[in-house]
Amino acid sequence: MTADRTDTPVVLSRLVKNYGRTEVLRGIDLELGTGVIGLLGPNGAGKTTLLKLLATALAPTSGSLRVLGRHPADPVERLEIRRRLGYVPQEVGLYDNFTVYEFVDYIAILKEHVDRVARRAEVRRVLAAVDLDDLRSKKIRKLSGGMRRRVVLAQSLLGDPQLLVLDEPTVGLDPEQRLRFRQIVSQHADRRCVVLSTHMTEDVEALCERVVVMDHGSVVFDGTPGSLAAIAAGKVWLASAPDPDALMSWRTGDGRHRNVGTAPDRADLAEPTVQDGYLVLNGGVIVESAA
Amino acid sequence: MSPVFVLGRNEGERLLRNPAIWLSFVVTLLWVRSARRVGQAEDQLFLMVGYGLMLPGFVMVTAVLLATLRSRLQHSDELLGTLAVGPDRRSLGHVASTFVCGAIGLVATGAIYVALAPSPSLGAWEASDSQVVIVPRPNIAQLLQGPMALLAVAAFVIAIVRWMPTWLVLLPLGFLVMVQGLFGGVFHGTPTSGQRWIFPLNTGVVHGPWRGCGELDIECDLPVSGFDTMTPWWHLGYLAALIAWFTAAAVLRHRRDRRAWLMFAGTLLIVVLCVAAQFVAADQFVVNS
Repeated sequence: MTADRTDTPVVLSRLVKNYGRTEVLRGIDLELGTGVIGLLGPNGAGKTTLLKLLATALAPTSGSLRVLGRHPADPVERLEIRRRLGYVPQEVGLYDNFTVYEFVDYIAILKEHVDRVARRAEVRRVLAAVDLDDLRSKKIRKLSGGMRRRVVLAQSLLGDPQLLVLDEPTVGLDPEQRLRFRQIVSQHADRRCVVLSTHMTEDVEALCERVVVMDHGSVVFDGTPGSLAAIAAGKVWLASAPDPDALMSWRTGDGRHRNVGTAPDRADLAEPTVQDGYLVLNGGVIVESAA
Repeated sequence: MSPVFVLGRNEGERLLRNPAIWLSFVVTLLWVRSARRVGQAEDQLFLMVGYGLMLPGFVMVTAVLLATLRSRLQHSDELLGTLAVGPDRRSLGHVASTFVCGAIGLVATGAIYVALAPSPSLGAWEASDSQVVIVPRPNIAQLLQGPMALLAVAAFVIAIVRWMPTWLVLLPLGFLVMVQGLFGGVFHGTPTSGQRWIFPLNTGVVHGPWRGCGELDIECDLPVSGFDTMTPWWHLGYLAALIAWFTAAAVLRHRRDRRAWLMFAGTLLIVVLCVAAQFVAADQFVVNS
């Protein structure tokens, strides 16, 4: 294994992806190392397309892509990438007639876990990790949306992958499960690469050591969550009334209004969050979770 | 152990747990019960050469079809497309799972054989209004025809689902059943003997020629001129070649390297050779004096 295979799991250079005449990714240059990397951006920014490229579900139109030191365009190297990959797509259909155990076991077979005893132990491990061990005999059609999402997360953890690609994995999870998800991902990210696309800026703040913001197929920010929040420094105010000139304004739980933008009258400066920084960066384009 | 084998075993175990497959044998059971009566030589022959497996086979093949279509129907192709075992090896796994169908067919044929306990002659068959023939007991090649045909049709379905991953696959499948039922079954004398061996199931009955079918004749008759017991051996080879060819066609949908093309071309050549061998070996009808 060469040095770049361990040091820089993902290297993108001038990466372009078109769907017909629509340019979805416009010459992206990125190097993603170990740890949790958050991917933020409005709908249509190209996040899901980028993740599909990393997961070898799509091929780029042009540019260079190296995943775990290998070229996905080469069938042999693509197979090697897939052997080291865990993927949670944004939307995935599960097999309703399968039990939770049967489905994860089936995916384990497709991940080349051929030894029955070892596979059983691995399936039980990932089901326990997402707190589904007690429900392993339950048919998937009887699961709630959050439980189904945990099944998808469980299959992605099979084989302890070197690269974990997660497209909005926390949608539908209750607060306790989201905290558990953070625990799983942070544990997994030790010496591995986790790329997490989400609209939940709190997850980015809590989990990621690096955040990449995309808009219109380009990277518009690449830095730490702290530096993203710092973009909004001096622009977040708490006031008794909403400011009509603010990029965004909403009433908080204590009855005061949080205004992102210029200072309204009789306002107190507030500590900015990743969400504030993101709002300022996108000039007021709303993040779903902020609504 | 190969992932293909493990996947085949996993899918095969799922087929074994499918109650519809076991329920479909009720019809076969009733047919066997009826055929055990004296004077049912034709039914006994049909049951033992594979027609007893037609309904269970159809159910099994439908189950295989649904399993192969599963990822498409349940919208999981994107996830499955990122796993190490790709669609080409999944196709092989599905084909491997059909060996469970073959095993079920083999056991069922054995059970039919035991239940009918045939002597060297199955008895007299009133083949037409003016002809009664003695039906010989089918040989091993004829007994194996049903399970092998089941495997061939299952491989056909997997191949066609790979190339046409929609419910439209039911059209060619239905057409196949219809053609088999019409030409290979009740009206098995309609095409010439050589052509009939192209269909998966063949009774071995050699018919013809039509007689008394002129405008002034009172009765039109298709007599039996014999029973072909040699061609069934070639037919087994033909069915085996079909299984390999359909499997290669299924794999070719997602893997187009040199090896896949060679496999496809090689198995196609064997199929063509087997068809030719059947045409040469098949007993042609003889004009009764």
